[in-house]
Amino acid sequence: MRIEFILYRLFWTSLLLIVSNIFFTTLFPFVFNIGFRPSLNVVILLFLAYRLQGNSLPFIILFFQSVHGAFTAQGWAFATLAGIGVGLIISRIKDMVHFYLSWVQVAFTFVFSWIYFFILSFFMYLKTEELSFFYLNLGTELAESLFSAALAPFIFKVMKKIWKTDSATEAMVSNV
Amino acid sequence: MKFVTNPEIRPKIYSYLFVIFLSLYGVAKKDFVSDEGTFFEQLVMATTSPVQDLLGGARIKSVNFFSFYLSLIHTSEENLSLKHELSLMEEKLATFEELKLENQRLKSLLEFGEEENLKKVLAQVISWDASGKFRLLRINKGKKDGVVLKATVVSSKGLIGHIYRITDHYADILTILDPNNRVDSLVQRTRSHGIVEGGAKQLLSMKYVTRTEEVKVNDLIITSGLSNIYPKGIIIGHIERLERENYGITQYIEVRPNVDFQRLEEVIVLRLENNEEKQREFLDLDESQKAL
Repeated sequence: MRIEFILYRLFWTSLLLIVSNIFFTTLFPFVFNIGFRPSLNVVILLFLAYRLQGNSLPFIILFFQSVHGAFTAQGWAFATLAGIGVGLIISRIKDMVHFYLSWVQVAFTFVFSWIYFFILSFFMYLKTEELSFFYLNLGTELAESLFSAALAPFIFKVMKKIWKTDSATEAMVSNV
Repeated sequence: MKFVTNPEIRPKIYSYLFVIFLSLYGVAKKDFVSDEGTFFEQLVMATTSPVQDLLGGARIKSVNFFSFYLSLIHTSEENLSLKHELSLMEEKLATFEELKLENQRLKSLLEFGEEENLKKVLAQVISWDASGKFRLLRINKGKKDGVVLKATVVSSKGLIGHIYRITDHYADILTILDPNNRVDSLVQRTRSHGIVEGGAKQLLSMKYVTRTEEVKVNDLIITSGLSNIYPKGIIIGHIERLERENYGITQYIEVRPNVDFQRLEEVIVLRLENNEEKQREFLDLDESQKAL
């Protein structure tokens, strides 16, 4: 029962990530500018890190970053490390944040998109021994984080529907 | 170390540590020249790419439909000018054919190496990378169509990149706009060597060209052929800006790619055909690089 309950939610979350990735990679760059390709990956990751508290969270992050990795040259490993970093920070501060207010979601997503980018840049620097990833993508990150932040309340609403629980199933989700 | 002894937190720490070490291993193994991809990534790519292909195809058809009717407005005028251009081109072509034959004769006299026999696979661009920070393109041709890893990809205007990741029916191209893609190149006029890599705002930067080289704005940049990926002589772009400081040993060169990536729809994948000796050389070179 527990595993089915969770797999069902993971399925819909991964479908949301895949559909958004297909939309943003196929239509967005050709309609707007090829340099502007936002992704909902970080927003989904933030929601999961905030919602789930159990031992499986790092594996769930790994799973979603592997799905996302199939759409980008970044691959799963860099994204998972950045995701784990963000997850650890959120687990420390989640009790201090009123996450269900729209403006908090916008600010939260904006700030954590940058934290995600800093962690990613740090590991890219370790790998390539060059800072070019960081300084060449500052402008892109600003545009993408603003876009993600603006979409965050809507995405969180969808995610809340997917991960909706009652009193009986709440413990199940909290312990994932 | 009190938290480690806490039996409630211990599994959580172990699961975090496991995923962190696994990811660090993944980072260490990561190669930005080509990527075999994990089984899971290949699976996701194989199942989602047909949808991207379908959407990409619909987008191109709708764009072509509108642009076709709009272009009809000035067709007769354009037709006349194109006819004039065609006659000029035919004249030029005849001259080039002569030069080609002469070149072949002279090359055989000098016992030059055999010309590379390149197979061409035409493919359609279906999507871009999901992260704006990487410049990857997905095309609708894969292993089953004769595309191989690290094959050069061009368009009629010039170099696009090389095959980075591949499945049976789809492939990803690491474009020259990506800073992780480094192309050994030449300034055509002066034969000055340098490395071209992706820069900001869809421009490229050419590095390691010494200050004493007299390169100019608008000089053409081509591939040098000094790598195991790109054949020699493919156009990369033109010098847009250069800075020669009073100090240092190199100059800063900004290159505008010849290919308009914003409007890129079709690409050509080039692969060496039946040149086993060359393939073996490349494999040996790859192995020696890995060993280093």
